[in-house]
Amino acid sequence: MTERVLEISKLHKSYGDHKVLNGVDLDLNGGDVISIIGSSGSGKTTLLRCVNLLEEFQEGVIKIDGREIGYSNSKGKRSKVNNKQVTKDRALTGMVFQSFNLFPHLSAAENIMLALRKVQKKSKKESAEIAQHWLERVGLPDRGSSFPGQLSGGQQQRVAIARAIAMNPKLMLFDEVTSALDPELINEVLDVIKSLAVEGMTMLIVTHEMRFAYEVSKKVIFMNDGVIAEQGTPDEIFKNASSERLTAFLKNTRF
Amino acid sequence: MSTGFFNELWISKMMIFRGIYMCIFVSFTAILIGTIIGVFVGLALTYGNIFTRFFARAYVDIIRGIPVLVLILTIYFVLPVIQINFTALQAGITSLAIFSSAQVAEMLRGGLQNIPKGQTEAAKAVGLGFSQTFIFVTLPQALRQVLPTWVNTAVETVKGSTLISLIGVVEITLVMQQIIGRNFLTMQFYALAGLIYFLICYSIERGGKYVEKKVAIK
Repeated sequence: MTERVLEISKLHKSYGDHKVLNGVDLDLNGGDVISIIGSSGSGKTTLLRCVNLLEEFQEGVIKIDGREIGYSNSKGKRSKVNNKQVTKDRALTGMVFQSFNLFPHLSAAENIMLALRKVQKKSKKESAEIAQHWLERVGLPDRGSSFPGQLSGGQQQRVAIARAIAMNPKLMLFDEVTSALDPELINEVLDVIKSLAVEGMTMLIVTHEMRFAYEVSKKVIFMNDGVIAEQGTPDEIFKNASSERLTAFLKNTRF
Repeated sequence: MSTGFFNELWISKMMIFRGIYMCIFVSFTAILIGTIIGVFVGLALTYGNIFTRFFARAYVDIIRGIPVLVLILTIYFVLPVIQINFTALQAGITSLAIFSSAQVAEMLRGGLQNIPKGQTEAAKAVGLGFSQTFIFVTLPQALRQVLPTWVNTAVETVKGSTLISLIGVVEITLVMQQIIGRNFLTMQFYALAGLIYFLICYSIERGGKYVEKKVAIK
């Protein structure tokens, strides 16, 4: 359980002149749950999107299971890998988005089955079984035939989690997954994530839910201006915040 | 008078049926070919690089700026100059197909661009490649969006098919002219032509509405 799953070193990313990530180093071992907090614009979502290769980055290396993804370095020359390889590398991680992004023309079960069938080339029967398994796991055993438009936000997000995790990724990425939800629907989603954490899923979670981050994480990272400004155990970050910026940030958030 | 009409109608029934068949055959083939070409041009418009986008855009804008009749006459009378000889039927189908392809391309571009970026990102995130994302995620959604407009194009193509009577394709309009030339029942047979076109177009519209309801995103 202690093998290194994710290794990010010296990650730099900018949009034109605007630097978003300014040298981020971060490691995750198997089973680790790390939460990233910070004000908007601090680069936390971008960091997650880089790991999922939805964003290109100018400098730095991201390794999953010890192998570099998205780029290759030979003889000191850094180049992007081809699209096919990007697609493969991307499949190592599962991403859950703030706005769910379920496919509206497919039922909940079909949403989960699509990539199982088309990417992993599993049979329809096997995909359906896996979909049903994960639907049960996220507490929606009888909603497989429902369409996204017929589900509440919380239910949609749980289906989205099932869709990502059914692909059996090495690492799950959660990008502010409760920010678009009504307050009363937040807990059902967080409970699912917590239960995945208990089962030993490796997860990187960007969140504004401080109590959740406190409860679920092994380590909490505070990002500011594109760098990791502070990191530590939940107690160190939330109870004994030392730096001025972190104290100021925590003062303005609900716990 | 009316007994005369029904008598004439009975005598010409086979001609009329052949005209209807020709109209439907031409329109259907043109819409089918036009849709296939249109999907590719629409793809080029949406995802192409700067060159393919430029040519696709030029194609769509030029075709959409030309009256169907001019397109028909050009293909039938001008292309032989460069050794492309179409029969009247081929020329008619080709021009209507080109006409509808430009409409389809433009509507598909609109449909694809309307799909939220999150959809392609989610598709990528679960590991779908570019063409898989297009086939299974974006295209099905875009098609639902463009269905009403597509039905409209189909109807326009059927109506446009009357124009190929001018290059001698014996479809409904030309059949009626031939019948009228024989019996001079002008009002009755043009009214009949109108009724037949109306029924064809109305059926397409109803069919479209039905499919729309069937595949609507819940």
